[in-house]
Amino acid sequence: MLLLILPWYVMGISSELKPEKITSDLRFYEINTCEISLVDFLIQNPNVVYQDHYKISYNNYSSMKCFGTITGIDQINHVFYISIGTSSNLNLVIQTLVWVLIISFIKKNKDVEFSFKFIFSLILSSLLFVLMVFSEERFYLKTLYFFDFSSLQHFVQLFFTIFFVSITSYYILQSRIRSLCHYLPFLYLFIGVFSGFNFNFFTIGLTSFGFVRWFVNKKIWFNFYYLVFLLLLWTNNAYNKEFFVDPDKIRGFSSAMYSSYNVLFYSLFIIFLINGLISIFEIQYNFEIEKYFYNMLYSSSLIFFIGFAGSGIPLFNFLSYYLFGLNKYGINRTNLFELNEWGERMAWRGLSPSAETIGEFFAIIIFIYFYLLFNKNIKYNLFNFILAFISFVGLLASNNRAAFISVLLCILMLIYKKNFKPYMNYILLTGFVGISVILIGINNFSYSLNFLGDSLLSDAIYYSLNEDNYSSSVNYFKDVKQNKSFQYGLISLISIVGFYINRSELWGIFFARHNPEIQDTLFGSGPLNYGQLYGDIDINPTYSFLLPHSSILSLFLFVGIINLTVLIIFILRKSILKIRFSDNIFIYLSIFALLNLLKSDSIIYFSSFANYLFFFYSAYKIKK
Amino acid sequence: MKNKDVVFICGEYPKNHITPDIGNDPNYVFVNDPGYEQVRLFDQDGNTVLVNSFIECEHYVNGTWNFYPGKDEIIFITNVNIFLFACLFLTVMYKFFSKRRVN
Repeated sequence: MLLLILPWYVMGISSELKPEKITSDLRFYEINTCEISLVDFLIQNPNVVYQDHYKISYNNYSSMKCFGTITGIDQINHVFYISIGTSSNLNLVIQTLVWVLIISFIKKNKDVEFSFKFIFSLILSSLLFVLMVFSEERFYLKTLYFFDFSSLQHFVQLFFTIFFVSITSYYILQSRIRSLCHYLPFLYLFIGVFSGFNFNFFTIGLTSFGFVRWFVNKKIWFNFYYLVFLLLLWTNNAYNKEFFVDPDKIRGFSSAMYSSYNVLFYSLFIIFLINGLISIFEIQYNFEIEKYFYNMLYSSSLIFFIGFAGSGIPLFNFLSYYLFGLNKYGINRTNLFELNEWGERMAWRGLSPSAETIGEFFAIIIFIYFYLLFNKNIKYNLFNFILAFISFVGLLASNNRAAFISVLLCILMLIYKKNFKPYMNYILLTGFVGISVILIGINNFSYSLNFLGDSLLSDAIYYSLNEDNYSSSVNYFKDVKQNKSFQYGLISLISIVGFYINRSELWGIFFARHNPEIQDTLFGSGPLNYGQLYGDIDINPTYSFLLPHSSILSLFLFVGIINLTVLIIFILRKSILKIRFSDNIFIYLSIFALLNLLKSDSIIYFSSFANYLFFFYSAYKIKK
Repeated sequence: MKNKDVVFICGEYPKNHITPDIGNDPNYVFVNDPGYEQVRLFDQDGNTVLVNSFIECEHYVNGTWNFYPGKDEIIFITNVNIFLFACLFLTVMYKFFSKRRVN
């Protein structure tokens, strides 16, 4: 309770001013900034807590002295926007303490002993994060109050604060490492992004794990020399380029700049982060899917209810953003099944930055519940059923039809494998095709094959400014179409798939922007970096900040066609094709994840990245 | 020698800049530099003054007009870090000695 209230009260104690009732005359709050604490303000104006025409938001670009105080109030039409001063530097400390406190409720299962190598790993990972901050100066100009990027003193102080976060994050995770995978579903609730920063509490600790695994155990997840080759190549490709993209909802797990320094630091970050995650996965000897499932149920129900409450209660929305470390504010639409002006269902995302990602999470719960009941791993229980039903409502509200179809496919595969009878495959196949056709829409099957095959290219051309401004991708597509070459057949196939999963336009926009040189096409332009994609080619305006809406396309951008092909073949051979001899749940979850990665951006959200990697890794470890 | 406050508030020193000895010349008049963007300076009490050339800005900042809203920020961060590491050190010491006592 202290951590919940104190930050929003302390800095206003010394003020002699008494807060006034909020009216359209806002002169008092315009003159007396940094004087009234949020708690005092809410005591005087309790209606701000629950009336949804008040919007409380953070002002990270404010002095530490103004933390938790009113730094401004504006009125636009009938909505009041109340700005609360928060300092990004203090956020690092306060949010760390909140999350450490929450994780401390998990029982400790390991003693942590700090040796020189451990400390050295922590120093290196902290240094990496500080360098990431310094390589994204343009992003931090708006969030770090009077931070001097050319000053050694500022560098050192930021390093010490991040070093403190690194030590606490490492300690709290390491002392519970043997059961951490059971709690992975809570990453969807406690996203852990620091307000005002472009990184995440959990990734700091995990990157330290990655360094420790490398230094102490001499292990890295892929061929060391090949990783060095990729690092050099990506860094070299970005030489003398500088593109900025506002990370918006992917803040915390995506770069804001495309420059050689930034590409280098983010590449090192992802290499050691994966190394750290694997160091956790490989010691989960006592993993129980039932515990993982129960944590999923609790996490999803909390996401649902807190998301719903936050949509109507401004204070709830404000606090949930801060305490859960959300990438962006929770949704403020109270109707879960609202229709837009064309009568289309609008997606509901609750606390999550993406409706697709949270829809996939809800769908996974439905599948695991079915799997566990079907295999009699758990007994039917009304409480669990109600929680699973909440997830089902969440899935419907998220309007993620692809997740719905994928979970249906996984369930049918499970039934087919368990109860094989000659006629069963026909019944199941007919049922699956029937439901898929209904969800896609029967009228969508009346288009000609030529129209469908060209839809990707026509959308890409539509969004390009003019012929002189075509990206190299569009030019390539046009060339192979004119030459009627084999490659256009593949592009047409992608186009048809894209059309039926409602991705034609979004993938078209991606290719209108994607302007790679040959080495970018082969090896990518560096992990977690959209700077070049969004900064290189100007296109016609889009209705919002649109991501590629395909993790496969994002991976193509990040690591190139060669690495992507190898990765997909590896996952298919080492994880998914094991379904021939095993019905382990992780194989089904890998199938589900891979199907959904085709049409969602989940890989660039840390919560799904960590969970999906765990699915693939666990499926990979299954022995015949 | 470059003054960091001057660089932060007034901008980078112009090439071949020589700081004039204004203190010994009571009749010195600051000439407006049309290429220099006007800067507002603050003193500790919140008084403000507008300057129109780098020389004028440097002169004032070298005096007492070197306050800017974020100036205390780094001191604050330093104090926070000292506090955090002191707490961390005390926790480690406490754990170390309580472990020894148990053994």
